[in-house]
Amino acid sequence: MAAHGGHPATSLGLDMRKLGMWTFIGSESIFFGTLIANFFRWRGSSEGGLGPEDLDINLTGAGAFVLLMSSLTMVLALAAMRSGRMKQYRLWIASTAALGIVFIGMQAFEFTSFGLEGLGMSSSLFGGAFFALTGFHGLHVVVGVIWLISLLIFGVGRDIKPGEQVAGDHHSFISAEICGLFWHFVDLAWVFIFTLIYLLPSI
Amino acid sequence: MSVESTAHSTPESEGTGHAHPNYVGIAIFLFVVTVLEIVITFQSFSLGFMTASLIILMFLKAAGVALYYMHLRYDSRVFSYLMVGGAMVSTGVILAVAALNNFLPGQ
Amino acid sequence: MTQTLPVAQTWKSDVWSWITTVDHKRIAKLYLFAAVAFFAIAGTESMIMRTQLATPDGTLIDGSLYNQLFTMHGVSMIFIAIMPLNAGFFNLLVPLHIGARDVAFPRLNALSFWMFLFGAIFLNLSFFTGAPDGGWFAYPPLTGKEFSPGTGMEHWILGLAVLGTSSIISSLNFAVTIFNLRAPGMKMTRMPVFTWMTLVTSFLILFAFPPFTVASVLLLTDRIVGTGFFNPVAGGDPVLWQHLFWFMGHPEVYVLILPPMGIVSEVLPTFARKPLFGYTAVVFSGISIGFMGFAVWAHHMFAVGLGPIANGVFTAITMLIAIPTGVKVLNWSATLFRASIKITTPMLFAVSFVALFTIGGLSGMMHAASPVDMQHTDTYFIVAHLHYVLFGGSIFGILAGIYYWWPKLTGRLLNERLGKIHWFLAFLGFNITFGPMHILGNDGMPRRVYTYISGQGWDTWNLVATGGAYLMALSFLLFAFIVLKGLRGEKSAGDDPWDGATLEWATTSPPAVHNFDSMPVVGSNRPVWDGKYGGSPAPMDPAAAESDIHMPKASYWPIFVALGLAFAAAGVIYSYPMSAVGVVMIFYGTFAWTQESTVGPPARPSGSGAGH
Repeated sequence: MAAHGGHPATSLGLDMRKLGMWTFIGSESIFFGTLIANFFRWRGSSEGGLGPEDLDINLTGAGAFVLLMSSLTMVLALAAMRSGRMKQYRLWIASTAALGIVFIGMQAFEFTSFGLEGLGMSSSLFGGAFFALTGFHGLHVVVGVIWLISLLIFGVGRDIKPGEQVAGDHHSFISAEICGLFWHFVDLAWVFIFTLIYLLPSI
Repeated sequence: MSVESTAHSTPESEGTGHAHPNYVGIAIFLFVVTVLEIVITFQSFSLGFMTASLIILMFLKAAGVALYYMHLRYDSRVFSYLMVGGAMVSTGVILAVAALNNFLPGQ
Repeated sequence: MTQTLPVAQTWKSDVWSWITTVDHKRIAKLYLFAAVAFFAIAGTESMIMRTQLATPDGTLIDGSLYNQLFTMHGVSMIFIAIMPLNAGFFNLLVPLHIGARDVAFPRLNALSFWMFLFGAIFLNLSFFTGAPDGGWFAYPPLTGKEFSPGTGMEHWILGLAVLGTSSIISSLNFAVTIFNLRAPGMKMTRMPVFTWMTLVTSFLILFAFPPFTVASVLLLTDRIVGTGFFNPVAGGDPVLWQHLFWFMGHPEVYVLILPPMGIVSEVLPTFARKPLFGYTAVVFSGISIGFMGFAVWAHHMFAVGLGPIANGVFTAITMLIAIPTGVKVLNWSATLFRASIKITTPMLFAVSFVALFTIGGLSGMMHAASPVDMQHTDTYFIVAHLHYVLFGGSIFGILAGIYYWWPKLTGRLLNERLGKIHWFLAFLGFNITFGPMHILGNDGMPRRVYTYISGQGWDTWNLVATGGAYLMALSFLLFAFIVLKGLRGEKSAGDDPWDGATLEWATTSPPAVHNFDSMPVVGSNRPVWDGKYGGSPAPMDPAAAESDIHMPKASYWPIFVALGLAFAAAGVIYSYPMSAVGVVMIFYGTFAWTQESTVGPPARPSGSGAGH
């Protein structure tokens, strides 16, 4: 977050913002863990309404692929920036954001169809726990998409000349990299959510 | 930190000395594992076996994303400790809530 | 924030410089000042309660107001008094202790403060519309919509959400700072104990708060959207709330005590004129207390009916925490053994910290045993225990810190003679107030009762306790006088008034905006002491003074984003459009923040620090 001239002193030789992002990720993973714990507490309480067996694995499986693909496009974006291929970098970032929007669309569709079938936040404890978990995950995806788009709008990396070899600690690279870390974290959360919430209750 | 002073060591450039992983290869791996997970879900093996395999596959995917996409394999150990620390507490919460609800009388 | 003030300095530009500051030393002052104000409010809440309880059948206030008072007293003392007091010390000391010029993310640091301030104000605004009255721990179903129909609980939930976010961000900042901004030679094993405790505290907050965030969101949806997570009528589970709350609640008490333990670990050696006995053991004890603190939360739930296995496990682990705690107490005591002790006010508070905290720890060990807790829980015995550790412990430790570091912060010493009188009144008043509560608790007086009928054997001790409380109030009035006096007068304390050992004493009092003229070089965990008496070179070499130092630029985006978050939270109660405005402010402010340049004008290194 700080734009500065020379390299600051760092006792561990690590970038400040990267260290900050990883610390945040460590903390936020507990937030999701608690939401998952809460889901497990209530997954049996469908109270006659829709329950875990009614979750659409095909749709969310597709969503899982979409997010995994978006993580791929994200690392390809960073790889492109490393070798100064800025046009490809921007393309990959845009693709990541686009895939994120597709995922959100899929979630919105899933939530709406559940709503139409009577499953809401307050219709049952299962519903509440389900929407709390997936809702917060979706919120994180939205924040990620906004972040990705702002990388493009604010022109992160515009200081990089085409073909320039970019060091791993280049300021703009780190800016993109920490956005990537957040994005991968969101994908990582879905890896757990998909298996634990969608697949396990259906076996 | 905007200290422009040279009286100390500069940080190492990150990620310069290692080979980049095959990102597309990792993506294919993740894709395959996900397919495997979905396939297993629809089988009728024993509950224990399916639960165990799904959880193992889940961790495999997580490792793929964390180690390669998030670069933990090539970055400083400090980042890994932060991730693992959070993951341990997270797992602890999940297990504790599950276990303590089994201790509740009449539950 | 610049060293050279503009010629025409108005009060407006001075206020603006405080609003936009990103300097950790100024932020320290802001935290300390605000925390003291909220401490005074919370203290007044307790004085009203004690006055009500002085005699049986008290008629000063009714039960409803009493419930609001004990709820707000607890929430305030924990979240907007002790935690920000600790944060004030983190801010003042951590960069100085490790030889840095500021924290890792200065604007984020300012953001944490403003979020704290607005969250604290928002919480206290609840008094106008009905403060939360379900206890500081807010157990449902009492705190669900049915039994707490007003907006008090929303103030609690949203206020703590803002405050919790502030703490998490601050912890992230200090963790990164401590890991990554240490001066050459300042290995982790050479850091002052206080900085180690800051690191452990930061991770406690980072890892313990998220489950509470989840729980409070779920309580909010229970109240506003109609989910039933904690509502037994809807099939929900009130005990789940307790688990999630105390999973945070117990590490929280270590968040409250570890920094004062760090303070005491700095003060005692200075006035014993010898190093802390067993530095490594003290540091490792702090770390293990941090780890173990995550595993004992259900000792707050012994009476809930978790069953003998759970109760037994939590009893055992709780008792194990006595070991690292005892290690610390023994090491502090050993530091004093055969020492040439200088009795100053900070020393008095620090030594009495050890004694009073130990008493509180002993009573705690009693009800660590779940069968004993069946007798103690929800009685005044617990009130006695918690005040011995949090007041005799944390507050006394913090007072030691204030007296000790006041000269570093302001360049002036606090009056020694008056300080010793303050200590005496505080020590006496404290013990007279909370000592008898052990007896009251054992005699069966429950907590959280707004009055009691005569003839149960409680009358005398309640009166005594109230007397002690008034004596404590008097001591705080004296303290206020001492502090106000300590804000005036010549800045004559000098760099190192106590003959200290750690890096903060190597620079001016107050420090210049850039802290150190040159990067300190560190060879031990007592760099300044060794430089004076140990034959090592002094950590600061005047010849190496740097000339091109740029400090981070002041910024108004932190307060802007903090205000946005405050509106977003408050709007949930007052008006949803307000929330929308708040969210827009957060996004806009964040974007502007990332695009802003942070390199400030050059700060001239100077021998005579022109700090503020």
